[in-house]
Amino acid sequence: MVRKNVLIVFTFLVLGCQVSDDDTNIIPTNENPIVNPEVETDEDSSVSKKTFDRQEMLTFIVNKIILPSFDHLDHNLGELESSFDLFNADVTDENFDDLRKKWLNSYKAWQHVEMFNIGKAMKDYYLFKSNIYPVDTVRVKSNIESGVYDLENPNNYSAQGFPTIDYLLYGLDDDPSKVINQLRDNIKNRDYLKTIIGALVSNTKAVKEDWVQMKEEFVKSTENTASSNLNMMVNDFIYYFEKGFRANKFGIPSGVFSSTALPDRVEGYYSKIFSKEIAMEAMTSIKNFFNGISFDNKEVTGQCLKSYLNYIESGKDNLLSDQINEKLNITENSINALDQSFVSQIDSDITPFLRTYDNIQSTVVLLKVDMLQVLNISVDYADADGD
Amino acid sequence: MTLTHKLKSYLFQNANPAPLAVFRVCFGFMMLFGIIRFWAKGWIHTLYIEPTFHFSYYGFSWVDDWGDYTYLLFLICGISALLVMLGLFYRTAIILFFLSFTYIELIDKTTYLNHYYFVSVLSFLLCFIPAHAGFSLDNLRRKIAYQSIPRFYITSIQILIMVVYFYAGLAKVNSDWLLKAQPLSIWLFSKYDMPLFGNYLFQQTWIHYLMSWGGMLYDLTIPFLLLSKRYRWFAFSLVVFFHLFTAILFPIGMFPYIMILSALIFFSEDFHKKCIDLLQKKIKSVFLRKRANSVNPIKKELYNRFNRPIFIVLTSLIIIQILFPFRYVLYPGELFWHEQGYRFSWRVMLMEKRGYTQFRIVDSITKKQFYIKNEDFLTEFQEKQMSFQPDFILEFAHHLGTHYTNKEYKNVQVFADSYVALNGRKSQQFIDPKINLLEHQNGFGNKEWILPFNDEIKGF
Repeated sequence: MVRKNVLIVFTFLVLGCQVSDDDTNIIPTNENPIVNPEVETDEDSSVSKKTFDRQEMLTFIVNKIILPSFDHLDHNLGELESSFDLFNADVTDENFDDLRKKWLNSYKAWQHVEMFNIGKAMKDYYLFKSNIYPVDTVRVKSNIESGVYDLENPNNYSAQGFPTIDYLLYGLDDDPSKVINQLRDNIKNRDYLKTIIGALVSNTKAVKEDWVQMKEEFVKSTENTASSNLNMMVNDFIYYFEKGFRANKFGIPSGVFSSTALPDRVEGYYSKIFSKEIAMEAMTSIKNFFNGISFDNKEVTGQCLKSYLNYIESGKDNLLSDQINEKLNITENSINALDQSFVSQIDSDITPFLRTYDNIQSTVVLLKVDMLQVLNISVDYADADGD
Repeated sequence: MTLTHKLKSYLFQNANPAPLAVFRVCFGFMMLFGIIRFWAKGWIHTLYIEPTFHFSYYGFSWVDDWGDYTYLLFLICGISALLVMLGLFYRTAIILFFLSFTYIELIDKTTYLNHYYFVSVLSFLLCFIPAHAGFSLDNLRRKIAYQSIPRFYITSIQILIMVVYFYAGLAKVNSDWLLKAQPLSIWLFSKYDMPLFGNYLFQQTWIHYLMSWGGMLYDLTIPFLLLSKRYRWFAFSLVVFFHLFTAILFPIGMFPYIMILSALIFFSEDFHKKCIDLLQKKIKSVFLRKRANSVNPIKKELYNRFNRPIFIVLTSLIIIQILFPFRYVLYPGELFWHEQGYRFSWRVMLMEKRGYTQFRIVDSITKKQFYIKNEDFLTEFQEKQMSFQPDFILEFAHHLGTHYTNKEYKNVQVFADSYVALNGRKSQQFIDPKINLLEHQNGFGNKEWILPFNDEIKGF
């Protein structure tokens, strides 16, 4: 008798499945202003329209964030290179100031591309060649001296890129006013500077070219697998936030991992006064990526992690994207309150610096735990069976 | 006749050994295939040899990987599975299989899966069961084939499978599963890339509920449907459908296929005899074509080696299986949160849980502190599992304590900053950050340093 009842329930369920198949009204109406605004204008049209277009999200990120960011960086590096040529031909204080300015501009532009460690950038170790700090000054000096070195050699990753230029423009002499003399008097120093600026320029062009080439195919890979471009993009963003932003810019210099502070690990250590400016630029790039804000025009927005999360959480209150943005704003404010030189900040009063780190850390929890749970993204863990 | 008498006469009546033989062949084959698959995927290295540190089961910290000889362990396991399948030196083979397989599982609890535990329990059971009584190479070797065995050998396997299903179903009777359709909502939603269903059907809330309720009803009823003669084929087709469906949806490896083949044990003697006849014909046509006459006639006997101790062992094993999953009631708080009594209870695919756990090493005198990087000690897979399971967190904290004390760090204390999210809820702090974990030992006592869960999940 019991068995029969169970069977009846089963049959009912199976039938129920078929009946409700056509009954699309069961789905709660999606009240989500951010996603697909056109859905609201024609309410009677098919419900399947309400699915989130992941390809549209990737397309926006590639076309409106990644490509313009690379254009911007490419442009700034071009200016850096011309400025150097001018300086190289005529070593004057004026030209030196301009060179330093152009370096800072391009370093800030770099902050917008660092998180996209995908494709050729990853294959060619573009990130490592561009922004590994602290600089291996011993290596830099021996490279300059010998004039024979291979920038592709991993040991030379920390002897090139923006940090090494920082060292050559600000740290080549213990007396800041004498740095220019080192460059004027020693052509080997200028040669090395020329080479590593040239490398940055050509590496950037190659990666940018790769994005242009692959963008059509790239945005189509939106499946939920560890190797899909969509998931790689999200994982890279989180990885950058945790390592490039949290650990490198704040955690390591403040001694979170070492029990004593290590101010010489600050980004832009030799120029010192730009560390906050650079970090704020990175902060902006993070907020723009998360909120889908176009690089060229802040007014232009598109599909992004925020709208994706809002789509999944539609109808819920206390949206995760709001929580994340709140944390990001708190982080931004606490960076803003720091000294323009992180080295001075760490030396004089480390507490606000550590507080900034804590704010970033609590954002990592929201990204790695809450956001990954909502998106249920396959992370590139060693694959093994689950149960 | 009283009920006990009825039961006794049912359990001890003579039964044909064919169901056991088919079960043995299927089991051996699946295990052999499983080992080969595991080997081919390179998991012996990535899961057992590569990690420098293993998470041990309480009381089994002496079990370690064998370095490169871990492959030998898998070789032993694979060969014994093959011998089990063939029914050659069956007793030795099944004991070896049980020992080697269980040893492998005990190396690192990171890889714990309910179906591995099922294999361990089942192979232990098989150590006491004459699954080589019929259709085995041991028959040829000894020139004896048995025509009957006491029925309870078959019954004990059936009961074990029924327990697995029924408890898996019981575990689904909770408010998250039935009233919120969690975690299926999260999982199905993320299958948007599945052909046909993904982008539409799996996005629908009613599908999440339908599958949650359907899964629960399936698990609770299927053992009884399989028992009934009338609905057996219907039940078996459900088994096939259900498991193939989950195999497509989730990365659960061999489990669906093991369960499908295991369900054959519920079929009648005749069904199994036909299976064996078919197999025998195939084998003869392939191997024995030329020397068909050289096979000596086999003496047929009744298997009369029933003894009380074995009956007692099998009965106690089943009683333990029935009681053990309920041990969680001995712990206060939410089972899904603290997971005390969660494993070994057939709680399959029940939670979506993620965590993020960082460890602080503190000098208790100078108060100097630093965070360690999990990846310096753990593989990504281990870190993922560690981050939301309290016994892992405690064990890793002790490992860190020993590591830094050995490195001449003084007055070492270990604290955890841990955040966990469960079944679609927002993350909340998991471990009391003010507790020096070195002051607590792993064991069966309640872990009071786990912060209470901010919500309630009703049900089993």
